[in-house]
Amino acid sequence: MSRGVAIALAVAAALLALLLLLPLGGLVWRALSDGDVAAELGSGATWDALRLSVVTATISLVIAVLLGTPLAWLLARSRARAARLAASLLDLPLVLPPTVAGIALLSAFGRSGYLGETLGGIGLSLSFTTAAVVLAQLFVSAPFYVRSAYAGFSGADPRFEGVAYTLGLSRWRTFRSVTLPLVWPSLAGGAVLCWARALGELGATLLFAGSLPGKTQTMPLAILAAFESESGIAGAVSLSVVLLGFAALLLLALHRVTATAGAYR
Amino acid sequence: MRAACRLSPSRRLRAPLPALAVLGVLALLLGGCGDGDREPTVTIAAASSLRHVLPDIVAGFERAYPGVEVELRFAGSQVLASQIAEGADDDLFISANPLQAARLLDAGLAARPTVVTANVLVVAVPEAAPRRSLRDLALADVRIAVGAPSVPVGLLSRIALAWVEQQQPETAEALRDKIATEDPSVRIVLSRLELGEADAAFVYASDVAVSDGLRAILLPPQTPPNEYVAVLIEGAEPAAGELLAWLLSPNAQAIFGLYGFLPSVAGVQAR
Repeated sequence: MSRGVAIALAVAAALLALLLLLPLGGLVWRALSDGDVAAELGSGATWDALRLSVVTATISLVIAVLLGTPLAWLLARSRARAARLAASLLDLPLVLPPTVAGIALLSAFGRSGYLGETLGGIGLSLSFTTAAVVLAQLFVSAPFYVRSAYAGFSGADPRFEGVAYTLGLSRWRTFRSVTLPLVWPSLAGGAVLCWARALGELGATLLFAGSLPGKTQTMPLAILAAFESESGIAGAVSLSVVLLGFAALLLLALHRVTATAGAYR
Repeated sequence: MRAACRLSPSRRLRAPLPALAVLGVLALLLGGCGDGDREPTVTIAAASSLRHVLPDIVAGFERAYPGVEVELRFAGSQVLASQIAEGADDDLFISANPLQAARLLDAGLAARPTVVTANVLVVAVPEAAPRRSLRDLALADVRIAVGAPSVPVGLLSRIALAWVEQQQPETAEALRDKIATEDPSVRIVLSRLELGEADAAFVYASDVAVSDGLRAILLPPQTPPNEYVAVLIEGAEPAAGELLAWLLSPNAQAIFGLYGFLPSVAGVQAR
């Protein structure tokens, strides 16, 4: 690679990295100058919202992985036209503005939604519950995992699996020792995206689950409430920095875990 | 738009041809901008709850002052105040939250605070539902939506419930237990009724006045109304002052009344 090309690449990379990181830096700078991050960290309400956010986003991730991995595998291994169509359709929740996603969820599972009446008949009402928070997060974040896992499975040559079968490996053993190491980076990357998106979910949660401290008010909803309050931007950025800090810690940990687990093959 | 107009063309002579072409396209897109003898345009940044009533009032103003053009933009008071504090180019700000107007006054960015109207908190229920009183609601299996305590509508809901508690402690307690969500804006509180997810919502009388199929249950009269404070933004067009005065005119006040708002004199100053 010539020196000129190398410099051009470095400039391009640095430009985007700066574009992504500078606003985050601005947020931290603003929180430190106007806000009071320490006060937010000392408040029980902040911890309630943070705990709810981390717990619900993690449950969403676990569900997305448990159900999304088989889905992505089946879609990738199926030759049917319908499978490719389904794979495209499953990306659609990504297109919806979050508020519309919330209305969509209500239209299906809400009290007057088309499944809501059936659910209500068996005494199950989802809206305004913590389960609704998880469902909203799952709806907007699972496509990230499925899309990434699907790309991974599609890229893993099925002939490796075929060879493993002819060598007498069981289906499970084949998946674990042949397929999984091949697709691991895609699964791990998808999981990180999925979890991060669930953690930041706002619009769909607000509409479908409401906003009640301790029950449905996740960190993004608490930030929205702070923004509307007397403390205004200062309070909102302080809370945002708390969320950012925890997300950074957890993402770093997640990267470590996936990197070490990926190294084991 | 105004900021874009300040693009200085002074270096254009040395600019290469493609840059000139880009400037030319920009000039076309911005056409008319910087035109000296245009009518003065007054921009009002107004709280979302004024979305229905304000265009009617402004239409009257524009008839009375044919030389002036008025532009309206609506958002939550907090959002608008933040935008103005960050340099948004508005002339008049009408806040549904007096605190947000006070913020701009304290920062020296605004002047002439004027209460132009007020809104009474009520409990909205679907007209078709059989519930006609707070007691009915307290006894029924219902979900209630209120505003978050950080927004005026939520704060007033708490004050109203405290007044209910004075007279009927059990009713107030039952109502509090039925609160399913504390929303960040009155618009979202109202949407809970529209989407059928809640059976009652603490909103303003003006929201019920422009809605289809909603009825208002009254709250204790001691509950204070929510005041709308208008302020002139620093560097406002002179016509913005005329518009502010117009908001208090009998014509404007009558229109406020039609849309479920309180007249500013009887409802607010007299309190």
